[in-house]
Amino acid sequence: MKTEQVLDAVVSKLTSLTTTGTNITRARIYNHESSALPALVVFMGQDEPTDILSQSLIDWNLTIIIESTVQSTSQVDEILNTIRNEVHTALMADYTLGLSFVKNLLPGTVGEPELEQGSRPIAKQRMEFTVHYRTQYGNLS
Amino acid sequence: MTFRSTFNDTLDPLIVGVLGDDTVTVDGTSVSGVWRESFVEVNGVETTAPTFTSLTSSFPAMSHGSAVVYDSANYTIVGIEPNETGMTMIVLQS
Repeated sequence: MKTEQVLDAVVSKLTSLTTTGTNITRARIYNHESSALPALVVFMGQDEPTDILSQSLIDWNLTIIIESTVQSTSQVDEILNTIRNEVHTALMADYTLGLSFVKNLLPGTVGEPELEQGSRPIAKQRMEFTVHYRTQYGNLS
Repeated sequence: MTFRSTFNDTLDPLIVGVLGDDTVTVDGTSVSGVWRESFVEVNGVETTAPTFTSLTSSFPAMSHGSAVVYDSANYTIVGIEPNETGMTMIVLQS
């Protein structure tokens, strides 16, 4: 399924970034271990059809949500921005994500950092990207 | 003497003296009291919330940023929470 291929491609592009390394998962519902931070989580957002082409093809806009989490005694919003830049650079280097059916990739809203107190400060931020891709009319694979 | 002042002046030191089994140093001064480092979930992260509680009168002059040592580990004061009964809880960052 092409949606799955997009999500897998995003995870692949964001694996081994300088700050988050291999601390990346998809659709994580469990808590993070403190020792496994900084980390990224990739979520599937809304997937909306935008055009139907001659009952042959469908164009879609898929929202990808990327959540970064850090815990540090250093300036946590600064670390979030470092991660944000690494994510942006990794994804926007190739707007197709290496997939022939992807037509465009657009950065979206970056949320306000959520700052909380634990044994050390904890911060989280959500980044959105929109992937414009195309499927067959009767088959999403 | 009111019940409240009796409790605060007499019983609190007695209770802390008997039950206050932990000692920290705050800016180099030893203080006996109760150490807590319970689990908390914050922003989807498993972490702890270290605090130390003792008689307000037992603490030296301190402020946010003061150094605390407990069990050979270093902490920094990020919160000072006195209550109306003569006790103070300090909130710590590791």
